[in-house]
Amino acid sequence: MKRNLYALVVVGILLSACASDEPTVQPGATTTPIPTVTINDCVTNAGSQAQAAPKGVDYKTQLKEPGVLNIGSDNAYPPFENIEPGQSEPVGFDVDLYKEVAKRLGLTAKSTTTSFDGLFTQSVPRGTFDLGISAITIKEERKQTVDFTIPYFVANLSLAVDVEKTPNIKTIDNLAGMTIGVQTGTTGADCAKAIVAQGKAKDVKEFETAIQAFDDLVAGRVGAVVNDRPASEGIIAARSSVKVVQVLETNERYGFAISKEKPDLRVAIDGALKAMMEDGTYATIYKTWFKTDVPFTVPIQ
Amino acid sequence: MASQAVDLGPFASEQGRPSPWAAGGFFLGLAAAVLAGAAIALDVGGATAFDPRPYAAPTGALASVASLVGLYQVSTSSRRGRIAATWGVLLGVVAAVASFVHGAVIGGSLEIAEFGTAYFDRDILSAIFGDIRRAAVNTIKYAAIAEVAAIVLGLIVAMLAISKRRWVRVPAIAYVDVIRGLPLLMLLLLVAFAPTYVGLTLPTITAFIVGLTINSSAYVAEIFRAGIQAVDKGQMDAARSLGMPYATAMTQVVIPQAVRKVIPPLTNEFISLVKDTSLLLVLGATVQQRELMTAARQLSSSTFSATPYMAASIGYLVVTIPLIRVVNWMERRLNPADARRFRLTLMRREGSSAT
Repeated sequence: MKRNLYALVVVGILLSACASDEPTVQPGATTTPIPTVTINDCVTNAGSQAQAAPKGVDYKTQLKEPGVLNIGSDNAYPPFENIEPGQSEPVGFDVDLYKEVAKRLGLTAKSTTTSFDGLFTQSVPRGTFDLGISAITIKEERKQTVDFTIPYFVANLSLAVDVEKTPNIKTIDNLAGMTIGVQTGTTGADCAKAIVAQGKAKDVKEFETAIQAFDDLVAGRVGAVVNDRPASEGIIAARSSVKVVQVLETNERYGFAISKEKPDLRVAIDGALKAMMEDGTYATIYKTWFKTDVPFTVPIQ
Repeated sequence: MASQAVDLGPFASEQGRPSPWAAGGFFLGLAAAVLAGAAIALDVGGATAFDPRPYAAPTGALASVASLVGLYQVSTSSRRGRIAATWGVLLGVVAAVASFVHGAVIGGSLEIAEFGTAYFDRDILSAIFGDIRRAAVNTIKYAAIAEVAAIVLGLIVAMLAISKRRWVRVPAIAYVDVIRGLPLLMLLLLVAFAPTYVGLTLPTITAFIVGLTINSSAYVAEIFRAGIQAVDKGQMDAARSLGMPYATAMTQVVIPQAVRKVIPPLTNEFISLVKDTSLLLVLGATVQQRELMTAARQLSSSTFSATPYMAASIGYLVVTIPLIRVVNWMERRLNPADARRFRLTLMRREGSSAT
């Protein structure tokens, strides 16, 4: 059932892409600019912990299996990574990115589907995968268990509502008495809890995936959803009544999570990512998935 | 040689025949335990030159053989042989587990301190205690409401399912078959999301309890059906011969006798329901609404620890183990003949604990 939902999402993205004459329009973006707000408690602390120092060995000796870059991902977060119905391999922005990185390092990328928060609590620290790539925000708590590559994406959170049911919600200040839907373990969940702590909303309801939160929004059981904006835009493309009404500026950076035991591999991947950002490969991949030029400067600071 | 009995002491069978396998099982188990114990002691004792790793594999092999031999003897040997063999099995299993854990620790894939912090972090435990307690109350509340509703619904369905009229019986049996044939998770998602497409949105917890009730009612109906059919047919015949109408005979004579028989399986059903409440996880919950599973999942995502899972597991066991003991006690108290007949009837409802 979930996969069918993703199919709808992907079809929705394709339709919205076809419908717009201008290729520079973001998927699901409206013509009027969406108001932006900064909430202090929602800004992600990326921390300043030192990463593990390189050991000065060949990065290939730090791979789990020779010649293969083993990647763990939840593979359910379009347009970053998603397995389409009938397919066995994921597609998306992250996928194209790590495939190119693997190519440049002379390796083959292999993706395995796993739980999102397990990537930084269990599987990557334990060496089950070489990398965790799943639109993971670089965050202080997560840095205690894994290291991160250089940032490869800048994202904000967003407030999405059902504009047919609640046309009056324009900002987080209109959420009095409402329950906010979020995905467990995400920066959106942290932000929603901060909004509730400030007395602006009644409660937070957590779901296993962001898509379920949007299902409950359409059903009317939650009043709003706070989630990463790019993924929210991807998910709501298939739900005509849901719109992003406010951008919550957090400027959070996504990175590849990597074991602290593999610093040389991390340095090699950093090099490949940086080269891709400088020679325009990154911009090409970005445009394939987001239909627009890169809105932030690369390499990302 | 075979006729010349060696004195095997405690390993001799009752007939005085030698039972060397029981002795073999015991001594193999003992050897495995000694080997594992020595390896662990030398390692923990700080004998740095000693590498216990090569000893782990033979210890495990020895322990496995000891367990197999012992298990075989437990079922075939004489009483004293059985006792010896049981000790062999116990020692073998303890040795195998100890050498495995020890091997994992020295192999570096398991660090005791880290393991302890991940699963039993005291600070986290005290921080989440209130959340877990509230979740435990919710767990019992959801299961209890669903159980009561399922008993009402299930009794009605059971009465319909044993009706002599086909047009009454067939739909009831079809209901039970369909519900028993569906995963509870599917049922919950259908109840939670299908009505929203026709403009009816049930609050999450209402939808959740309705789903639990529908699922449980099918099993409760089967329990009642089995319970009613386990009442001796002569009871109904006797009541009818006294001039009682069918309905009176059923409600005054048969059902009161059936109720006694169905209490243990209904308690089992409640245990199942307690565990099934964990599926609230897929419907999403607020802090006030969450039961043990959802609370543990959400707390573990914010604490980066498996401690909430352990706390919630203990929460489940605190509720379920006393109930399991009560069920066993009640089953023993049932008239043995009744209990046997009832169990035979119940065998038809295989797989009652669906999840």
